[in-house]
Order: sequence, then structure tokens, then C-alpha cells
Amino acid sequence: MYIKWRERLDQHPYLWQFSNWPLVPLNEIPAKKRRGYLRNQTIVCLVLSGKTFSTIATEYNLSEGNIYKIMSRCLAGDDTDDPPLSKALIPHFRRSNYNRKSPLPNLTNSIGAQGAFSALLDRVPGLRRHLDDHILADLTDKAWGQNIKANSFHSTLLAFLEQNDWPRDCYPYTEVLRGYESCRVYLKKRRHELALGITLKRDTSSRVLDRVKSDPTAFSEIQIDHHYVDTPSSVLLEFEGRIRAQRVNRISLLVARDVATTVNLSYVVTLNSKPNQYEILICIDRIYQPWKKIEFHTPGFKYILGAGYPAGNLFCLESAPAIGRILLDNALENTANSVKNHITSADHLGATFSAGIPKLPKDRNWIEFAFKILCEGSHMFKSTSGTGPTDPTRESAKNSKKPPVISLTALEEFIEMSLANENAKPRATLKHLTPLTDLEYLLSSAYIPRLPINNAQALASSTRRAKARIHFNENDQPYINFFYRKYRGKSLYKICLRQKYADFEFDENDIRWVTVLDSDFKIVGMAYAPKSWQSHPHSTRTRKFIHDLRKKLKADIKNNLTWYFNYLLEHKELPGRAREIVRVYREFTNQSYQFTPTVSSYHQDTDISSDDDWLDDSEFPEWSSEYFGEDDEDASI
Amino acid sequence: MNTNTKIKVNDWVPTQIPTPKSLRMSTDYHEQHFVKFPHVASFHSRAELYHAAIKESQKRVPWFVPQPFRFQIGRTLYTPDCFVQEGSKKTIIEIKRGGRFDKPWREDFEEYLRVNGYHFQVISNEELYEQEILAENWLTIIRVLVRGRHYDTEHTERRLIEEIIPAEGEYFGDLLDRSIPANRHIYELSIFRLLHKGSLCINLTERNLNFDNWVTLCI
Repeated sequence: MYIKWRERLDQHPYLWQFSNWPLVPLNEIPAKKRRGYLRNQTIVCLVLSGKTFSTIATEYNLSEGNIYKIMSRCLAGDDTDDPPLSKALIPHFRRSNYNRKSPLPNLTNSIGAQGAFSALLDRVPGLRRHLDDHILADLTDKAWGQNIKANSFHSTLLAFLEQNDWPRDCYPYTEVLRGYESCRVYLKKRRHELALGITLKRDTSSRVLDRVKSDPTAFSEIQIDHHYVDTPSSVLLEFEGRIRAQRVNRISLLVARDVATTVNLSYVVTLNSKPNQYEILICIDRIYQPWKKIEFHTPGFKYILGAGYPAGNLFCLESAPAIGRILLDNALENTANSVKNHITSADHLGATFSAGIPKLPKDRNWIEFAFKILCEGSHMFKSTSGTGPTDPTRESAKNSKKPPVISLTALEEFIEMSLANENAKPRATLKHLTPLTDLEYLLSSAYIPRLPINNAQALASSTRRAKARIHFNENDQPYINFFYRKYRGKSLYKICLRQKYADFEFDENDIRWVTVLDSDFKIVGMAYAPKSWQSHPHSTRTRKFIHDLRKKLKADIKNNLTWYFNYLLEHKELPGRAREIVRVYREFTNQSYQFTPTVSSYHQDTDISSDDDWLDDSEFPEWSSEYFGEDDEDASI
Repeated sequence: MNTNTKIKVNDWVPTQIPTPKSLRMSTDYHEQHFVKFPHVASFHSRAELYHAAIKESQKRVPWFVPQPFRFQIGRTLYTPDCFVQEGSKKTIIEIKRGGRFDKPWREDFEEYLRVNGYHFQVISNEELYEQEILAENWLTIIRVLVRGRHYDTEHTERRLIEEIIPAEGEYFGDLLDRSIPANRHIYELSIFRLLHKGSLCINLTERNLNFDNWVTLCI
């Protein structure tokens, strides 16, 4: 039932107090209408305070009817509906939706298009539903839906009208521009309404990792992650007497960072697109391996005062702090059994392994922050690939045709310098202490569990332990399978009668031989890979590459390692291959990870010969079929 | 209640069911060694990890098994989060956000467990996060116990109880011999072993374990 404004006030006496009316924020009212809104507000306040209509009308130069109208707009209406109250004070506020009553405009009767679009939606059966279905299909990401724009939405409308034989001389054909605009506005409004409905229906309990309330202390949480270093570099290669610069693809960087103190604990530069499981283990172990300053060869590169890493400076192996939890992302290499065992094993770290929820890198924000800082530096070089194809700092097409000026050595030195210096810069989050100072303070004053010395020593050594079944060939000679090859040795004879499985230790940077252990983990002797794998030290990664490549090319090879190196040299123009050449060269010459070989040392790499005279008899046994087998036999699994 | 729901379990001996790779990759996955479950335990959320740490702190719980059984309920496979033995009471525990576990077969499942002598309990994540400090402190203690499992500390434990810790108690930091790292480790291990056995008491519910925590004898 319709009630007048006074009756509404009688029904709801609290509305006599204007302070009980809802407020419309002034910034939500268009600037042109604010003045009118404030005038109407004052008038309503005066009416509610008991002033007569005539006094107010005289004061504001209005008729009494005008004041009655303002009060009616705010309060009158159906008694079951809520009155618009303050909203109705906005000039030209429309209390109810406009419903067009006159027929739609056509060619013969052009009577204006006000409210024509709403009328069209009401008068064409099924049109509103058809349009809503299209919008919903877009919002709910249906396979048959389309990414709707105003243009295509308008076409959908016209197609529907055509299918339903809508007269061609009628709206919207007669008002093309107005029809299109109404269609665009409807799409925008309706998309918002439907999206809101979907959001409300959806279960809002999203998978958010709950924050830890207790403050982590030093070494209680370590975050490890890897990223590309966004800067391709170059190396100088000497080939057939000519020295030429070669572009090297982006390298990747693996960093371990402490959460409580934001100290960069260790890092590994990987000459590949991503690290493997063993490089993650190296990164973890380097947290405990003493760090020494590097002599930079690039002009301008230097450590700032106090720069460095904690291992060796703030603690020694006897008092090494124990890590509580290691947070990694759930990349395949991170969830490898070797990584998980290394972290959780009571003989190594004895820590918690945590692989976070996918697509939530912010749970490991501190390590992402470390890469952000590093990117700021690496993006300074002109050869940077930037953060994406649209990054304005990305290397220009002109420069990308030539090898970058920055060398791989300089880039590695830059990474070393940036991460070490970052540890010695004061941080606001640490009350203006440097991360290393904060860590030093916490190590001396807070309770941080220490590693037993045996565990610390196991972490500081670079050997890994594995287990393999002992097999016998047709001559009853024992062997074990390891990384696609059969390993033989006298040591296996000693244990094969007592046990089915052999425990052994190996160095992942040199898998030419493994150290066989007995059931009490005492060294029994060595087992060797076939002769064709003995010419140079090589890692598990190289073995896998060669194995896969041989399989692909179906190549018959005598010396796998020199064949692989020559194969890379044949394809050295490719940036990825140049990076691999450097990696393999470093492995074959037993160089540390940190440095690129000098020009003179590159001269040697072209001299890598396929004969086996390089072996020093004093440190390596004379060849016999007992040790190495007759030929290169694949491991049978 | 649907009386047609068929429920069966392969084995009533609780054994940790390996987590499939797809689940490892899609959950907040954790692994850690425990004392009352002397293997690497797998957890699919931080709340499950905290639950195990809290059970480790309770003297009346002799052992527990995470991901203990695989039930076939109708056409679905279901692995509960934990099995806990408390005295003669055997409980199968499910840990869910908000304690919501609205499965159509829940009543049938509870009845099936009751018939076989088991209880079923749903614990909310929030309830476990409330005890976060306690759980984090116990996780620290468990890691020390696991790393030091080969060390013999019986003599030091006896000395701590009989000679070193006075009746009114002592600061945790004062009990550790911090000058010699090897000694510090043995004392740390002994104190935590006594704490795990329930012979010592430390308030671990309010703040992180530190040198100024007060250690008392439990009588």
C-alpha cells in the first residue's frame, strides 16, 4: 500500500533524526550534483527539525510544493519497500527503472530511442536469456564461449533478431549508433552483475597457506629456488687457430636464503636451463662449506665492507647451526628422492622438507625478493633479455646479432659480488642491521640447535651414497648398474657372496668410478665404469646427455666423452651449445664451477685427444677386462 | 544413511600409504622423521604436520601413523590423515579446514569403524594452528632427537636428574655447556630425551624455545 512521507515517519519514528539516515559519500556523487544534494539535505534537516514549509520555502526561494516533493521522494512509497532516503536527495535520482510504454521507433515513426534497448529485451522473447547465456559462457570459461567484446556482443544481438524475423525497419536497425552504445553499456553492467553472482556462489575458501604466527629464528626456515639470470653472455673460443666470441644462452642460478635474517647462504650457478637434483644438493651442502673471497678480474667489481657468506665466517663445522625446514617449490628436481632423503635423513640435515602449493610463490617471498634484487642489477646490461618480450630494457634486434660484450666470467663474478654484497647492506626490516650482523647476533644470543659433528662433516664432503643390486654376467663376474653403465671391480667380488645389494659412494662431478662399501659402510674398494667412459672426469648430467644423444643418433662410438665434445664443437654456433661446451670443458678439466677458462686454456680443449694415455698409472689401475669390460656395455635394468 | 555403501580395507595394520606424485605436487606437502613414527612421515598440509608434532608431545600417545589405511568406500578410495593409539583407544583422524567433512558416506564409515573397534575424529585446521607455537617448538625438539638417535646419553640424563637440575628448576641455557660444541649437543639431546619421556617440564606453549625457558623436574 502506498504511504505518504508523514505516514512513513509515523511508522518509523527513528527517521525523525536525520543522523539515522544512511549517508551517501560525497565523492560518489557527481561534482555537478553535489551542490543540489547539499541543499536538499539542509531542507530535509529543517523539515525534520520542525520548521514550517513556508519559512523554508521563503529562505530557499522555492515553492512549498517543491519541498513536499523532496520529502515525498525520500520517504513516500509502498509500505513494504524500503524508502530511498538520502539517495533521493541526489538531483535527478531515478527511483524506479524507466519502462518505455510507447512503441519502439521505426522508419516511419521516429519518436526517440529513450528506454528502447530495455524495451527490446522485454519484447523479443528469449533475447535477454540468450545474451545472458553468452556472457555467462565467457565468465565461466566454457569451451564453447567466446571472449566477448562490445563489437561481437552487438553482432550476437543482431544475429538473434535476424533469426527471430525482427522487422528491418524498426529499432535497433534504425538507430545504429545508439543501439550499439546501449548494447555496450548493457554488456558492461550485466557482466559485472553476473560475475558478482558467480563469485558469491563459489566457495570462497581459497587455498591460502596460513601464516606462521611464531617468529622464525635464524636457520629455522631456509628457502631455495632457481631462476634464469636474464642476461645472455659470451665466451671466447679458439678453434682452428682463430679466436672468436660466441654468444652463450642465459644461465640459471640456484640460491638458498634464510627467512629470519634474509642472509643469502649459498648459491650455485648452473650452465643449463635449470638445475638438476645434484646441483640442489650442492647448494644445500655449500651452506656448510667454508667460503673464501674471490679475486675479481672484471674492473669495478669489488666486495663492500663486511660482504660474504656465513659458512666459515660466522660458524665452523663443530658449531654449525641445524636447519629446521627447507622450503622449495614442487619442481620435479626438487622433489627427487635424493633431495628429500638428503633433507630428512637423520645422518644429514634431519630437517623438514616442504614443497609448497603450486602457483603460490609468495609463500617463499624472501627467495623471490632475492631474485628481484639480482634482476635489478642484471637488467643494467645491454644484452639483458628483460622480464619478458615487452620489456623496454630488452636487448635490441641490432645488438642481438652480435655476441654480448659481457663475458660469462664477468657475469659469474657479478652474481658472486651481488649476493655477497647484499648480505652486508643494512635492511629496514632488520632494524637497520645488515643480514650478516643480525645472523651473528642470533647465533650468539638465541637458541638455535647445532648439527652433530658427524652430520656436518657428511654435508661438507661432496660424496653421495647410493645402493644398487649386484648382478652377474654370463662369466659370473659381478657388476652393478649405475647411470646407464655397468661398473665392475675386484671389490664387488669381496661382497657379492655375502650381500645382494652394494652400497657405494660417488662424486657426482666425476662418476668414472665409485667407492664400494660393505654392510658396515667401510670402504672395500672401487668399481669402474667401462673404458670408453674413463678418458675424462664427467658428471651425471653429462653421462645422461651422451646416453640420450647416442640413442637418438644411433652412433657407434669408441670414446664417448671426446666424441661428445667434438659433436658440440661442430654445432658451436648455437648459443645453447656454446654454454654446454663451457660446462663440459670445465668438467673435463676439473675446474671449479665459478670460472670460465681463459683463452689460453681454451687452446687445450681443442687438443682433447681420443687416446687414453692421459691416465696416470700411479693413480689409476692398468686396463684389464676385469675392470673395464671388453667394450662399452649398456646397463641392463 | 545409505545402507548399500560397501566399505572395505585391505589391512587393519596401520601402515603409511605412499603419497602419489600427483598429490605431492598439488598439496602443501611436508616430510619429516619422527620419534613415535620412526620413518619419514608424509603430510599433505601444515596442519597435519602440527598434529603429528603435538601427538609427539603427548606422553599418553605411544605411537602414531600418518596416512594409515586405504579404505574403499563404494567406488572411492579414502586415506585418513592419521592413526593414533592412546592406551587401548584407537582413533582414526581426519584433519580438515573448519572441521568440515560432509561426505554422504560418513555415518556408514563411522559405524564400520566402530564395529571394528576404532573411533573416528575430525579435527579442524584452525584448532591445530591455535597450538602453533607448541607444535613448532616440538618440531625443533624432534629434529634434535632424530639427528642424535645414535648417541648414548643415559649417563648425562641420570646426572641431570640426580645432580644438575635443582628441585626449583633451572634456565635451559644454564644447563647447556655452550663452551664446548660436543658437550652442548650431548646436554641438549639429554634434556630433550627427558622432556620426551616426560621426566622434565618446560612451558612450550607461549613462545619459542630459548635459553631463558625454565626447566623443572616432573614428579
